Formats: sequence, structure tokens, C-alpha cells
Amino acid sequence: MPPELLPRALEHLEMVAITILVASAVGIPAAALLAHRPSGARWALWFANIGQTVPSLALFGFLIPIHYIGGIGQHTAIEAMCLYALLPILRNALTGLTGVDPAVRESAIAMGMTSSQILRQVELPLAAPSIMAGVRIATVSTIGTATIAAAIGGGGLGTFIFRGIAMVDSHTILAGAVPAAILAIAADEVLEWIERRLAPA
Amino acid sequence: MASILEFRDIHCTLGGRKVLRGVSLAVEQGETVVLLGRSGSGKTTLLKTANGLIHTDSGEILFEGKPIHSQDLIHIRRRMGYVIQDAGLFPHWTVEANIGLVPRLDGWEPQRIAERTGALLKSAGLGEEIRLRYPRQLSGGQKQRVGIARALAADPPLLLLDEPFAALDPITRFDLQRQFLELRRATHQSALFVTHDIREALLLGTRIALLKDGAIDTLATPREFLQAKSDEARAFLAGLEEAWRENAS
Repeated sequence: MPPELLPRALEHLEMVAITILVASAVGIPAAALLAHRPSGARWALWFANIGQTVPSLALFGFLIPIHYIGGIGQHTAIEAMCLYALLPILRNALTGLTGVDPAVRESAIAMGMTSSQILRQVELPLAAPSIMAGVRIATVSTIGTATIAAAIGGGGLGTFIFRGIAMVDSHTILAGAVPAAILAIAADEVLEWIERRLAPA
Repeated sequence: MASILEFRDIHCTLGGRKVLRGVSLAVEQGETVVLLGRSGSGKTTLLKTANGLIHTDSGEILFEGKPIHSQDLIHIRRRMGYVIQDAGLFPHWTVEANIGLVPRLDGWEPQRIAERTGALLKSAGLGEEIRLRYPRQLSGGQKQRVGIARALAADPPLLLLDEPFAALDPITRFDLQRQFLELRRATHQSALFVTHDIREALLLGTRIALLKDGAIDTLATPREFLQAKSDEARAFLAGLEEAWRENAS
């Protein structure tokens, strides 16, 4: 086991955590704004879908030469991964919010709740399991994508993978790949547990 | 004294179709006006214009003598209890939280809300043990009782009910209908009640407004309604007894 495994794993998790926080901070409020605007929602999903189709390695490459936002290093990788994480988070949040029973929504309006009360007290709690599912899917896939960050100097567990490829040494590759897989499985379990806890009683 | 609710020459178009064509109707203090009609007659649309869920093309709606559109709709809605077919309870809230909604929105003290909830559960014929249950743990009849209790929680001057008992089995339905009658007799609760069931209209209405193609066809007390001459009224009345007579012959 390479001595720098733990710092690299923490670095990896840090990138993933920042990515998911930023993508959630953008995606969930965006879904709340778009939930009752079907055409806006369609455009946002289209945009997020397009972002998803660009191969991640290519996207890293595209970002490198751009001033301020690009360059070599972790922040460029995080920006690219945010674009990927946005789609599942946005789509699941939209599905959850638009899936609230119309009769429940109508009751909420008819009882004299304001739009923001309906959003905070009714729609977001009812959509919570779906929103959490999006965050979980995004987290698991970002843990995988983050291994590519090492290609542009982002660090993380991908460092071992790229080093192993360069040295044609499968042990070193595995030193990156196995912990990344374990992280992904663990994250999936923990987030799924939270998701179940959020399901309406 | 002003009517609790008054519709003046209401016109309304939904999805390109003219749903209401000049409806005028008043609900007086303490009465239950039943809006009776076939599917598509405009009865639910008329009900939903009262609390601004549906906007009218023209005409005026007065609540307690004042036009609703000159006032804050949010506050008007809190003074109109609203009950729909499958109750529309919030699935993530307990019975207690559901019933206490409008008092909470109006900023009542928790202690007062708890007492009010207890009183409502009792008068709705529900036990205290139901307080902390969730809607999915209730039977259809219990849900509907909770729905009515929720609508009554902040003691609104008017109840709006959209086929509240339509999805219940006949025995539970009759039970709730009787309870609704008692409510009117005991508290003089005013209500606007939508149904397509002539029996329910005759049982619960102080007056029946029969709608046909977005206009009032007949407006009468149940007693007068039995003698009504219009084709639409006859058609509804025919349904009352024909069924078993046809079968028996």
C-alpha cells in the first residue's frame, strides 16, 4: 500500500464533496424555480444533457486554456465535474417537485399558504427522497469521474491510476482503483440510508 | 345583511371552452347551497372561482359583501374552508399537523391549536389516538373527516366542498352526510357544496342550484326542486326512482 494513499483519498473526497455541494446549491434552487415553468425546465434539462454528453477528459482539456476558470489543477477539475453532477441533481429534483400530487398542491393553495410556504413546507419535503436520489447518483458517478482529475493535475486517487498506466504497473493502478470503488460503494450506502429516512412517513 | 358569498354574472373560459356563462348566485348566512350538475356543467369551476383558484373572465365575486379581488386572496382563502374528494391531506404530516394548518398560518398559540384540534377530532367522531397518525394510515372515511376538520379549524365563515363524499362507500357516505347536517344545525355553518348526486343535493341543500352548460337551470329549495319542470331537473329526478323500477318490471 503506497504511503500517500490516505492523503490522496482525502483529496479525492474533498473534490467530490465540493463538487456535490456546488452542484446541489445550483441544481436544487434551479429546480425549485423551474418546477412550475415547463418550458424553462425543458431548456434547463436540455442544457444539462448536452453538458453530460461531452467526454470528461475532453471537457478537462477544453477548460485548461481558458483564463481565470481554467488552468492546471484541482479547481478546473471541480468545475468540469460540477457540470456533470448538475444533470442528475437537477433532473431528480424537478421530477420530485413536479411529481407532488396536484390535489395536495391545490389544497395548500386553497388553505391560504403562500408560494414560499408551499415550496418549503409541502413541495420540498415531499420531493426530498427524489432530490436525495439525484444527489446520491451524482456523488457515486463523481467519485468515478474524479479519478480523471489527476490527468490535469487535480490529484486524488487518479494519481495512482495514471502513475500505474505510465509505469505499466497494475498494482499501482489497483491502489487507486480499488479505494475509489470502495468509496463509491460506501457513499452509495450512506446516501441511500439518508434517502430512506427522508421518505414521507 | 350582506350574503356570505355572492356571484354576480360570472363568465369563465377554460382551455378555449366557455365553462360559465353569466352565473349569479348568493349564499346566505347559515345555508348550504348545493351546486348540482352533470360532469362539465361548470359546477366545480364556479366553486373554484370563489377562492380564486380559477380566474373569471368577467363578473364580480363578493365575500362578506366585499369583492374578493380587491383583497388579499391569501387571507380570504384562510377564511374559506376547502374540502375535496380525496381530502387532499398532506401525506407527510400527522393528522394533528394537517388539522392545525390554518391556525398555524394565522399564528395561533400552540396550546390553543392543540385544544382546537382535540375539539375538532371529537366533533368529527374521531378518537384521540388518531392524532399522531399519518393520512396513509387512515380509512377513506377517516381521511374525509380529517379533511373537514382541517377546513373548519380556524372557524371559517364559509365552507367550500367539492364532491367531498363521492369516493366513499354508501354507508360511510350517509354517516358523513348526517354529520354534515348536524354541523349546519348546530353551528349555522354556511357552505357551498358541489355534487352530481341528486340524493345528496336533496339531503344536504337548503337550496339547490342546478347547473347546465355553464348557466343556472333551476334554483330551488329541495321541496320545490321535486316539483321542478325543467328538462334537466326532470332528468336528475328521474334517476332517483327509475333504477329499481326498471329492474323490477
